[in-house]
Amino acid sequence: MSVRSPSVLAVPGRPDPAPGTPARNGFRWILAALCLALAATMALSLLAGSVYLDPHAVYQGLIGSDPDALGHRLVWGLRLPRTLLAVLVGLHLAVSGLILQAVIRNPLGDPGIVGISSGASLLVVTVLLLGDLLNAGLLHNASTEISLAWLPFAALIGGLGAAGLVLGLSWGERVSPVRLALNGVAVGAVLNALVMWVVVVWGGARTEIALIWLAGSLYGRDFEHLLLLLPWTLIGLSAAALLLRPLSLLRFEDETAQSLGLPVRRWRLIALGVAVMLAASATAVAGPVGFVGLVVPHLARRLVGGDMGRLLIVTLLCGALLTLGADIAARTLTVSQELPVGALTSLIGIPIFLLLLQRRTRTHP
Amino acid sequence: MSLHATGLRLAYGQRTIVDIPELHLEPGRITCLVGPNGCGKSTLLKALGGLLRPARGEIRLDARPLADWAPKALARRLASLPQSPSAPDDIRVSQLVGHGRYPHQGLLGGATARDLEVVDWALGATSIGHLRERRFATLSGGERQRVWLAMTLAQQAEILLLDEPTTYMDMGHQVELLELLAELHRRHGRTIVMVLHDLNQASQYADRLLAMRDGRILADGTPDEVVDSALTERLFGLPTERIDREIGGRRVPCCLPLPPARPEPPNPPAHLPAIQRPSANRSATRHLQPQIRNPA
Repeated sequence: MSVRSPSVLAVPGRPDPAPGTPARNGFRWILAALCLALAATMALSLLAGSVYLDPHAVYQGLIGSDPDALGHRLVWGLRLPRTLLAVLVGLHLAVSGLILQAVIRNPLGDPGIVGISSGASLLVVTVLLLGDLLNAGLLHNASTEISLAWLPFAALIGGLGAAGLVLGLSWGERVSPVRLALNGVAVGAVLNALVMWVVVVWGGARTEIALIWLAGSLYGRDFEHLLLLLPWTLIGLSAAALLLRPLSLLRFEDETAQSLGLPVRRWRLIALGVAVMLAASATAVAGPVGFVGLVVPHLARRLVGGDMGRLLIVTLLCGALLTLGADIAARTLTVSQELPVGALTSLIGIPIFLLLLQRRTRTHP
Repeated sequence: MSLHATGLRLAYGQRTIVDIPELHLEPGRITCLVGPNGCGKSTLLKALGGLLRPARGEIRLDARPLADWAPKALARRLASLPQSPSAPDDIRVSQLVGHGRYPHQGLLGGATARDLEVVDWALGATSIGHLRERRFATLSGGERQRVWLAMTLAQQAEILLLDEPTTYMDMGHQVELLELLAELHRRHGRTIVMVLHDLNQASQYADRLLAMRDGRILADGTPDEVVDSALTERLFGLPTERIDREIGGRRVPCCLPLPPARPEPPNPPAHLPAIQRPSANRSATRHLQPQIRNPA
């Protein structure tokens, strides 16, 4: 009985344009341009670095059989895993930001601001240093290495805890942008202080490693890191795809979403869980890379508007593009020493963050 | 296919908002909730839509308590439109209306031909087909309200619960929307329960009026039966004059406010100095005014 002829009430003489043809074509062009840009940037990432390789050398390195050639070692040992990792880390953080912004209905949703990065950092640093501590204190002869594979889980626990704290403190009628930012800054500061405390007190020989990791860097990452992250990418993106429809509705007020048949609390928790999972796993391998999750979804909305499916695809591509671009800049801008990629993304992100905060507080105090 | 509430008490925290022993809403009728601000009519509507759990008692749809319905199955039967909801910034009208199809969709897969057809119909029915590609944020209040209604219609539920659907609309659009609802009711037998601010509009369109005050139903019946000056005085503290109109073979009451009887102001106590007459005051200060207007 819910199936009724929909044409009965149709108002005659009101021509409806064919559904979204110009918009659809526009979207295809954007998609094509982004894919092309990403491919070009990935190629550039293989060429550029402290040593410039010409395209021929890269090509030879990629398919060549001589494992001792410089090109082969640079491409397979350093640049290819690093490039792919930058792509994955970027898309993790950007998609996480997209989900957070939808769920908390707040343009300041970002894994860094919500506290995921700081919480994840604390646990990761603890786990990194725990290995040394165990070796030194308990097992004098053994070289127990805590497996890298534990890092994402540690990061996940830390991220969930910190995000829970920040969101719990900020949750009112809806999450007010200013309150969220302030709580995020406060919790982040405390957590970062704890991180430093852990590093300084327990750091010992690994202090430097921990510090480099904490700056958010893709330096020295290899295929092991890539394989570590990949399962999380696959799970996270599949979950995000399944989340699209509920996520679309979570952007509305609770009552609106509920009246459309969405169990709001359940889906909100699931969506937050996916966001934390994506951001925390990326943090586990690359360290806290700030502001990608904040900036990219806004950029994507500018490009394609409010459709969640399109937003997800464009966010994913832009996140990869931004992080990879920042990483290329990080290793080519300075000659002797490379910059951490997290520093560059923050450099780009913080002005945009301030702009957004200002604009929001002007319209909704 | 009816909503039935028994022993209903609705509360926010400890504060009871609505207390109704029994309420039965028959299918295929237009019921209007009227009453002063804060009388609990919106709260009652939320509870009827399953958006608010009763503190006591229960509401049943088809003899099954609302809480036992699967959310999507309930949303296919019963569509609620909250009062002036907000939407994400960048969403377009057609996308927003498309969200009304959510209870008919799974988690994956695009919109079906049927979905698109229903969205088209809902856009046409609310006369906003020309706005389909507009960003929601750029619309006027009245246009937004029609978009929300289109979303609710796209749900294709047989029961519509609308909280002040005519808010932000000018008179022309108000009547257009109410006529649309009346037509949905006539042609499709939709059951409509709505909160209306304007008692006269409610009288014109409702089969049944529920007049509420302080969380209780004061009057329940056809507009012709229940609307009179006594009712408006009890609801709003406002005496009115009832004028009957014939609309479509029905007697429709229309209430026009009378100036309330003004109580005589009490005489001032004798020991207080008399208040200076304003006219005397003005003449006394007249010579000062140029100075005030143009300070040197």
